[in-house]
Amino acid sequence: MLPQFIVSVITILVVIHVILLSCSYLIFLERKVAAWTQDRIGPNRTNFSFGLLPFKGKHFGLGQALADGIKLFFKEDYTPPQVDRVLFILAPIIVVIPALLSWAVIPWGGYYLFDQAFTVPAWLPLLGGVVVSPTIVNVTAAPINIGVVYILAIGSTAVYGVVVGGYASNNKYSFLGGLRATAQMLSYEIPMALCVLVVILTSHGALGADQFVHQQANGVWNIFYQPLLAIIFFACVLAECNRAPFDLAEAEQELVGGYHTEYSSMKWALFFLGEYIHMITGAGFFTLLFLGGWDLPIIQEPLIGGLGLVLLKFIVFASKILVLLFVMMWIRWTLPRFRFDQLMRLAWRALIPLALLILLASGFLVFKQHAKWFSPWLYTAVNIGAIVLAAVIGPFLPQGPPMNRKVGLAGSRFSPVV
Amino acid sequence: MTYALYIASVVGAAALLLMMPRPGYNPRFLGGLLGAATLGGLWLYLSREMPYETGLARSAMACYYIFSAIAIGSAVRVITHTRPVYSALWFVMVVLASSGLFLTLNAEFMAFAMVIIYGGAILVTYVFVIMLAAQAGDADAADSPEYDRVAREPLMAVAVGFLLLAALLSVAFNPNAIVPNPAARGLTDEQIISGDGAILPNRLDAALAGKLAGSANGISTEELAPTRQLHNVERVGLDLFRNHPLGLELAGVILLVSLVGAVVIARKRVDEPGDPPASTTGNA
Repeated sequence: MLPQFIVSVITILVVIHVILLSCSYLIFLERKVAAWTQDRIGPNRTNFSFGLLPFKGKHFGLGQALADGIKLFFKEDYTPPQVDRVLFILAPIIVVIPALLSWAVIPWGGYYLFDQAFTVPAWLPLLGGVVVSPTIVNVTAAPINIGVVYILAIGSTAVYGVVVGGYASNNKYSFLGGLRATAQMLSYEIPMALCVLVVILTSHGALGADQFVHQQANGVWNIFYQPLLAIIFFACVLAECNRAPFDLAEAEQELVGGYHTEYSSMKWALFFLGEYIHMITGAGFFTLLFLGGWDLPIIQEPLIGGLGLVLLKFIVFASKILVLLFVMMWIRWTLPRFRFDQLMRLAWRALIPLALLILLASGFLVFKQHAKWFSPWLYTAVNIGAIVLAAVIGPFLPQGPPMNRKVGLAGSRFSPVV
Repeated sequence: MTYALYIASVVGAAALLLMMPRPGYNPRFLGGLLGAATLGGLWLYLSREMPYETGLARSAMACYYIFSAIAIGSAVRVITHTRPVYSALWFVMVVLASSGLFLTLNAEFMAFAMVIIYGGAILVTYVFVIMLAAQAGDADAADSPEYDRVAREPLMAVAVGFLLLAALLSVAFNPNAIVPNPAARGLTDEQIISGDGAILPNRLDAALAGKLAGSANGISTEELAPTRQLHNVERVGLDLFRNHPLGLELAGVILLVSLVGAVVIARKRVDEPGDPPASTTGNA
């Protein structure tokens, strides 16, 4: 118990600092990716001197991230007079707390072996004199056996910050942004949970985060067994973090800034921080379920090793997350934003039926998993079959009322009056 | 001990009545003090007079008291707050604190399922609807509608509520009913995981524990015992499917019917001026 506690505390301390620092550099990366997509150079001049310290050179513009942070700190923290004061202050806090909590169960570094028995020095309060026998600990903050459900639960409470922020601002634009975010998050939670359910089902009912990694490290990554499911899950992750093309809640052309229109300075920065932490969480969740966690392909790494192996696994995990984050940014600066009815139709008429279909077929395969003809690659066949089925049947389904019709405003050239 | 529960119910009812929003002078602080004193006194009394062992660890016990206090306090705020949005948010606190209570009882699946269903779906919809009905600016204390500022029939409501509570406590507070009879559980974990006719023969937990123990010197599989016991979700699933299959199927059918009903209601088309005639686009 005690070794696990020590490792948990160290993991929390390391991970929280890595994440908070990497968030500011993710903003830098976002600006760089935007620049590359648009054939610009991007921020490349700010060095670490900020005009005060005696550093020379440009440092590849890496000082930009810190400069952004400093700017946010020194901006005026303005609270408009007509807002609901308590909720206005509470909303950024509610955004950040669930974002930070989801981290607890991500298995960063596999396992670590406490191979030396030792006694806690007697002068320590509470723990003095406790004898610790050799044991195996998980390098994660909370090694609970229900980790995936925990991530889903914490993720489902993330919507409150956005809703409360939109409501407390007492501003129609903010309020509309909050409403959109609520509808969007509620809708996309369903296909997300269905995807997780399929992966749990095909992993012999595993729920602990480390079990998924173990399963995939010994076999094939789930993304090869469930390619369509991975795509659906990735779309849901994008929608849950309010990222483009699903960033309807903060659509600048329609809603000014969406739910954070009235926020400034560090309160606004907390909303931004929450979004980026959600991105990292979503990428971590995807890595855990589909990309094999800390597993490196081809190499059969040992389960237990020293500190070096833990660090290596941590780096592998973080690199996979970084690649996914890059893909997210790439998508943001490439694809245009959905319209709201398209967003809802995508969730309810495409993602949920497909996920349900895969759930049904995978459930049947799991039921027959002891049969002679069973092979896990049948899951891949099911996924490809679902894609083909959707492509064949999709055009023949009833389309619903035409949403994109021209409205005959009086005086316009579409008007039947003039 | 039953009488202590009854006395606590009566005093608690009086405290809640004092906290109810009413026009004019509000003795809210007095009510809160009385309620806290009642709860504290009851807990002190119960912790000394409890005739049986609860089986909770000391740390879990501390968490139990903290979560209970948060849940009760938030629940009081749900019904005494004069602004609906705040009431809904306090309700979220009640749900989160109750899931904490489930965690102290080792019911992890119940805890997180409750957060997903109540915290993440139902209450978000509540907040959604309430926010549509009331904007932030127009609910200031002075000019908010009367049904928000004044509780209707607080005396009757509190009396009925606490009568029900007292009745439930006198029936449910039976020491023998709390600790389950170990003989009633049927199969042991060992029989379910391994042995002849095992229900869950190839669990990932067991395989992982064996592999971990195999790759480290001096650690036996028994030391990783938590991974060789059934965990909470497996227990819940086995209990549902072995002991209550009919209830499970019925719940599934009812949910399906309600789903179809929701689709039927949502398909009703509202005609707007300028829409093409309903017959051409397929009316529901």
